[in-house]
Amino acid sequence: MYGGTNFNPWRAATFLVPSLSIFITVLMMPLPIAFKFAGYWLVPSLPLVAIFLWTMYRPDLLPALAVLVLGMIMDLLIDGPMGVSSLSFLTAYAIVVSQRLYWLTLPRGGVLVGFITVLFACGTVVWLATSFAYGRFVSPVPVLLEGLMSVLVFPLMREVFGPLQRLAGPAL
Amino acid sequence: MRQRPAGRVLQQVSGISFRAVLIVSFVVALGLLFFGRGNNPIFNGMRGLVDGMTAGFYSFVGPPVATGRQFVGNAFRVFEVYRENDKLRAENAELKAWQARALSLQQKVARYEALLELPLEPDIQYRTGRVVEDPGGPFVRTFRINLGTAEGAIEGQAVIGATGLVGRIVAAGKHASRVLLITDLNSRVPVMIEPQGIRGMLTGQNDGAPTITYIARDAHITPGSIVVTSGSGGIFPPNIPVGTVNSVNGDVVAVKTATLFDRVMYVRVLEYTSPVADVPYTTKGPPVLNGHPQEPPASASLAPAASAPTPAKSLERAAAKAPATRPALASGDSAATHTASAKPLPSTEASPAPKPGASPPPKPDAPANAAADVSDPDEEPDNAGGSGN
Repeated sequence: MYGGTNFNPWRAATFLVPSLSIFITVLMMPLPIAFKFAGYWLVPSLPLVAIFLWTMYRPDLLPALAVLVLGMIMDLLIDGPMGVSSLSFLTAYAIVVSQRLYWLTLPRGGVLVGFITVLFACGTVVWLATSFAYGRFVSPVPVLLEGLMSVLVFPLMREVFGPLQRLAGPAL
Repeated sequence: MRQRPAGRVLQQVSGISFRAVLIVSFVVALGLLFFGRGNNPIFNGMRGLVDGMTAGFYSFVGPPVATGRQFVGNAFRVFEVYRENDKLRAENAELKAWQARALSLQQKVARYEALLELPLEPDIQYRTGRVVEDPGGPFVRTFRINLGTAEGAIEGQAVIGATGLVGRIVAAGKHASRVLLITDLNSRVPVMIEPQGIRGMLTGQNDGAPTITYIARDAHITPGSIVVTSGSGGIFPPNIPVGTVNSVNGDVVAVKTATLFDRVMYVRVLEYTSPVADVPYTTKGPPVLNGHPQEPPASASLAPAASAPTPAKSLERAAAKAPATRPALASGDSAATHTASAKPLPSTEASPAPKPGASPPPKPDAPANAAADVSDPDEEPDNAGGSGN
């Protein structure tokens, strides 16, 4: 039910839960959590996993403008070219919003398939956007490794965000 | 109840189309990408603002997280401890022999420099800072350190670690700065390959192996050659260890960096000013040195100028050139200013040659000295609040 005359501050505050939780993952990205392997830094894209989970299960709480702003903050924090993270996050958001109902009808593992699809699309966007920003084609290996790490942390993140999504209450 | 995107909720309330909001967001993101290319001052200002707002958070949270990562990393290496210990003992014995030889040669070189009237290199002072942030994106190789303009850090200053060059400061906030690592795609460092003296440009590749470009075609480079900064360009002081040549495949010379970037916890920011910077560019009038017009030379010859210091003067100047130290910064225990180099006195009277194994040995030439001061990259420097020399 939308709108209504009974304004509930708690329900209104639930709108902040997704953005805040994603913001925390954005803040975590510059922390020294990356490991180096074979010359490459291994670090998952925690904000992308968080955006996927919120958009998948509670899209009613995450507006596109918030995704845009979170991407900007991410780029500012990690020194990345401006706009790259925003484009990546918005791509994930748009794909999940349009495909979530289909993925939810798939048997067990369907959501993970959806996540890998989103990772592939976002990785391509990040690679192209970064190449554009730097004026030359960059190696796609870092994006592939980031995607691989994101798949590995996906089950853990799902366990963490599940209670948060329940805390946010029923759908509006 | 079926959940609808927040934009559709907004649409119900305000009448704004969900699709329109999404398209506008994409357009804004593309605009950011387009206008953010290069060195946009607006975004640089925003980065500085964000740095200032988050510096306290990362200074507080970063070190424990880094320690945790190091603990996890060390856990995987615990089985190699005994083998590594034997290897280190053998290396230590070999290095002690090399140390005695190096100290002897150092004194000899200093005397030759004085005899040849080579200008003394200025002392390079440095500040020690702590790494509070790591690179976070797949294509970004930067550190954030807890030294900002309030502590004297400025853009362009070279940053070294315990074992070699780390990078340079590309943005300085009030209490934090961003360091572009030499492995970043945008990093360019003029280097020299020793012992041949081949010059080139070290270019980051976003992995552990930056490459050297702009090398002479007939250059013969062998793996294992030492790579140091050449000092060209005036940003980096000469002779900072960068790494070793790892492989040579045609025109691609890959370098194994001396710095292990995943283990860097403390760095030193060098206060280096190139001697070239003291010579203002001018097209008219007599040459200008240090801001004062100079008289034209009486004759264009290779003979030393009348005002050139004699060897004796060089020795006196060297002896009088005491290593100036600055008081420790008041901002914290992790930031301090020190002298990175005190040129060894080029006289046996002024500075007798140390005996092998004497402790402490005289400081070798900067900034290699500064890099060698901390033997363990993970160890907290013990010079906070004190003098480097």
